[in-house]
Amino acid sequence: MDLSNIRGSKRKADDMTEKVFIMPRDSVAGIMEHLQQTVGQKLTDEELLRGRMVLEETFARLQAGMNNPDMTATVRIKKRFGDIHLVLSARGEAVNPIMSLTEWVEDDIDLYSVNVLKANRDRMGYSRKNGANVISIKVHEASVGTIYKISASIFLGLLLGFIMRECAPQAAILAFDHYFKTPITTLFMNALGMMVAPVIFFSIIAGITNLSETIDIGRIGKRLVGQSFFVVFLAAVLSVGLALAIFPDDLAFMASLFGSKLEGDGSNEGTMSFMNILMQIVPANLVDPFKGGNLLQILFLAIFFGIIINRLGEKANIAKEIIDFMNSFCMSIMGMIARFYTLIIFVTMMSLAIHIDLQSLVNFGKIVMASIIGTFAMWVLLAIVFMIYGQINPLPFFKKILPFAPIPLSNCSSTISLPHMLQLTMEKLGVSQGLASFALPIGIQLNQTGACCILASSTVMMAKVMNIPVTMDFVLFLTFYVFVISYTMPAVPGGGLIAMATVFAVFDIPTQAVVVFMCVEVLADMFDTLNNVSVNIASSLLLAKKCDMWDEKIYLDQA
Amino acid sequence: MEIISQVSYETREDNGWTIWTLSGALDINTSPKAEEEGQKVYAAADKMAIDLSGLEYLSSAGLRVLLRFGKNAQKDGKGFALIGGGGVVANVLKVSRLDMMVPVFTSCEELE
Repeated sequence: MDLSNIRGSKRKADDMTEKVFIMPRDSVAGIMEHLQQTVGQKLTDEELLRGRMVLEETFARLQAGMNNPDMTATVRIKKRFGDIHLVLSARGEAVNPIMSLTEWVEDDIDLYSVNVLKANRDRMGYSRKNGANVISIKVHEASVGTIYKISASIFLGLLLGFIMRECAPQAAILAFDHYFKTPITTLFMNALGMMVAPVIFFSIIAGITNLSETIDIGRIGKRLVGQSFFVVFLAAVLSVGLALAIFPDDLAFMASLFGSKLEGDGSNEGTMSFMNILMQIVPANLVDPFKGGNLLQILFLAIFFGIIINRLGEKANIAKEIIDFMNSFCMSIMGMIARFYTLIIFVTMMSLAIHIDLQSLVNFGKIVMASIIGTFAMWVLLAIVFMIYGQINPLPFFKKILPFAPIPLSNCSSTISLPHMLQLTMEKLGVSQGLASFALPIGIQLNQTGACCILASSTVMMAKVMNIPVTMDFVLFLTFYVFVISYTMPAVPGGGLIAMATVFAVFDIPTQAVVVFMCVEVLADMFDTLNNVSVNIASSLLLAKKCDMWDEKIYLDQA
Repeated sequence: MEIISQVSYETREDNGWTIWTLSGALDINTSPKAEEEGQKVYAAADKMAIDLSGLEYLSSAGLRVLLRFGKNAQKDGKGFALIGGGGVVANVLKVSRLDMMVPVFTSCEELE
């Protein structure tokens, strides 16, 4: 192909990070072709196509938002730790094409454009630098294939652990624990612990400000949020109930698996009371919560600040931008930490295989079981909500969602499943295109019902391990925190572990314990994603029925 | 994967329809010129069909061009149809629901 249409200036020969293109002078196809030639076989056809579509739609949306048809933008190709980004920068009025993705779109073609961006929302970042709008588009992620690496880590870890358990002398096992497992997991947990407070703080504020934008959209936005509150609350109640049923007995014998901090710990008796927790919520100053890592107080501050920022309206625009940047910053750091997941899972699985007894293994299996049962229980709950609240026959919904289930089960990502969700919701469930395109992407953050299962089951399990009395106060607080944390769960790699650490901290469970749950979290995540996606689709359907944007004939016809 | 960045056109008559065939990519860079060329074909045609089966890439800028032709044809009382392509282009037409605004056929043989 002729590359003469690529006129991007080159500051340094053969250095892809230095090449600058000018849009629209340089064609999008030319930029993508250069990217393909520079990066080589690393990029798949799908990544190239997606990058091309997102770059073009971002440029068009920025041009429309700035109301400047002559707008030009520079595009740079940047490589960061194996990830490949296209960074588009345009000088002029501040326009965030990502922030406005919650808008209601009437025009059919704009809807397509918005859908392309919504489906790639998690690959995009916005910042404002020196009077320019800067949008980063992740074209290639170095961790593609993580799911396979994680599966291999689990298998190899278990295999080597069992071999070591059967064949290795006690001294070798002690050496493994002392020189390999402990330093690696400690470093990882320190890195994760370092990020828990900032990730929780910024992601919750960003979540609240985005939620406010959704509510601002009007009747439909308010109904979407209200419906989500109701369903997630039901999911929290269901999950806690399920967790209590699954772990009825004392599990103190498992304490050694979680490290020395838990062993022989009986000091938690009586600490869980309504007054104790209430008194701790409001910090005495703004430094202590961050200094001492008091997540309960950080949670309170984040919610409080989020509400205040919303009330300040336009006056708080700078604060919103800073929070958006800090959120992206934390996301990038978490992305780096997440690169060590496979190693940590390998080490943890190996250690579990060496030390675990059959009874403990069964109890870890119960965490995954809780997610599986939780998903089916949620489906039963949805059927009841369909009949009572929506006055809809639930059978066609389940007939159509079953063939779709392998998609979220295999990719463990609501965002990656979004294009398929849109197709199913519009073409098979009869939800109008406008409503589906609006409700489903927002619902990804709003309807994280699957997270409730693992948060509740892991916390109840740890309470039983640590002899924390499971009183009515404990149950009520757990339901409340599972609801709040799953609702505002950080959408970052490792967000699930951070959410788990936050709930653990509330109940005085050492946050280091989350590392042992990593291996089961990976498996439970498959069903939790299916749970989230099912609730999101059901929520859109109910909303469509209530707003008269639903074609019942399509819903019933193709059943 | 070869990244196509150009669009080529071909016009022919078939069964009373003027069929304008597009090949390559209809994107933000190629759409303005394509629209200009298409206007000439449209002005001379009684019934116009745009054959997209040779198109390998279609973006929202291209969709807008197609929609404008459809709306003008409706206003002018001219026959208008799209011949859908395969792969990416078919998906774009499906997701954008352009088929609800403009008649879309799978092949030229279906044109009446």
